[in-house]
Amino acid sequence: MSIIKATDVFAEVIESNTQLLPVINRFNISLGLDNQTVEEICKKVDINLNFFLAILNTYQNPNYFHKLNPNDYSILEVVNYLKKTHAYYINYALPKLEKILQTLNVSCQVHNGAVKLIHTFYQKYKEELIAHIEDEESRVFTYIGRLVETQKKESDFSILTFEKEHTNVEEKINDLKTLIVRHIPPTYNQNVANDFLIELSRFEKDISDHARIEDNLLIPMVKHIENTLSV
Amino acid sequence: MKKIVIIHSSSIICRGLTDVIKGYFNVDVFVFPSVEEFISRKVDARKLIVFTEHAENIIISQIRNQDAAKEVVIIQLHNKSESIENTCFDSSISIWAEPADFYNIIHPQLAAAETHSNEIENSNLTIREKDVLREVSTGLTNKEIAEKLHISIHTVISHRKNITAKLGIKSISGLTVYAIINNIVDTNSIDPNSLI
Repeated sequence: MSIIKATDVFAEVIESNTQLLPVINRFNISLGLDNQTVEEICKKVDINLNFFLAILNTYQNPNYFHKLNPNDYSILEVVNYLKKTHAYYINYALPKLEKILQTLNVSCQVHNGAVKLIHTFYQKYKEELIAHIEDEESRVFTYIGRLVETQKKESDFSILTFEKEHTNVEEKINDLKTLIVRHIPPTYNQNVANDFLIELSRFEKDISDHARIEDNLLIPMVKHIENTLSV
Repeated sequence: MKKIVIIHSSSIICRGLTDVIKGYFNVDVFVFPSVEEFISRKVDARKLIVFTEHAENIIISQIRNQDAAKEVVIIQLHNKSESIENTCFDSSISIWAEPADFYNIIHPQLAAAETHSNEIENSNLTIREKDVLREVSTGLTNKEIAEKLHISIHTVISHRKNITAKLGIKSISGLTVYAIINNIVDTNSIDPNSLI
């Protein structure tokens, strides 16, 4: 997909990629966009244009980060955005998936133990993801806050301790899809199962873009800051 | 998954019966000259339909209690011209019977397994892969699995790679869900929710 620019009419950007809808909500932008450009919207809602474009283009194009200059915005903006995304997962996306799964469970004409197992698997996944998010907020984000505030490195903690933890969480969404698509007996309401898979795929895309923002943007920025500071 | 086993000392009878069964059903048939060989081979299936000439209670219970199959149906293969009653068998049939009689005795058994479980056929995991999957899903580490199954860690890892490639599932809890659905792990003795 094409790169989103400051002069683009924002309504057209959204019309061509609805996956961006929850993303713009995290920036406190609502619909009713009229013909305003991306730049005009940013001024109106008071958000950093470069950062907004960086995030939008990350969702639009998986390789976008290579072209981007991290000096254009502050790391606290990144952290703030990531926190909003976390809140969106915990308060909206995960409960929604859970609700569809409950409907799926009830929809089985005959007892389907496999759907119950899927539900259990999902709940464990959810707990794990929430624990991961909470850990990230309580350890990593507060660490970044301290770095910015004190301008000093810490001897017992660096961003390296937190790398390499993402694969697990993504692996399970994929397993969840595989189990339903390939392995469990289909004695459930198919429309509900479709809803679940479609919603799950959307969530999978969102969370993988989110992980990419953390891995390719947040972590390099923290490393950059760590390298410029002394203990 | 259902399999048919023939345990008979006459290879002509084994071959003839195999031929008859394969003419009617698309099912794996395994032939053994003796009960000992059958037990040592561990034919792995959810349901086994066993034809045997042996009639001693103790031998029949040996066949019934072999551990690789969940359900074992034993059909006596006798050489009398009429049907005979023996309570330790699920059924019996004479070697002089017509092929259609064999069809009539096998068909309900295969069909019963069909309706009893809405199980999807295991995605061609080998017996050894299932052994490894069973241990993985009960939470053992590679090292523990290697010790328990008397194989090297290297072999365990290679089995696990193949399992993941065949099933498309990577996480341990995902594999556990698969193992429970396909009865690879016995959930009578363990709470499935504690495994996932």
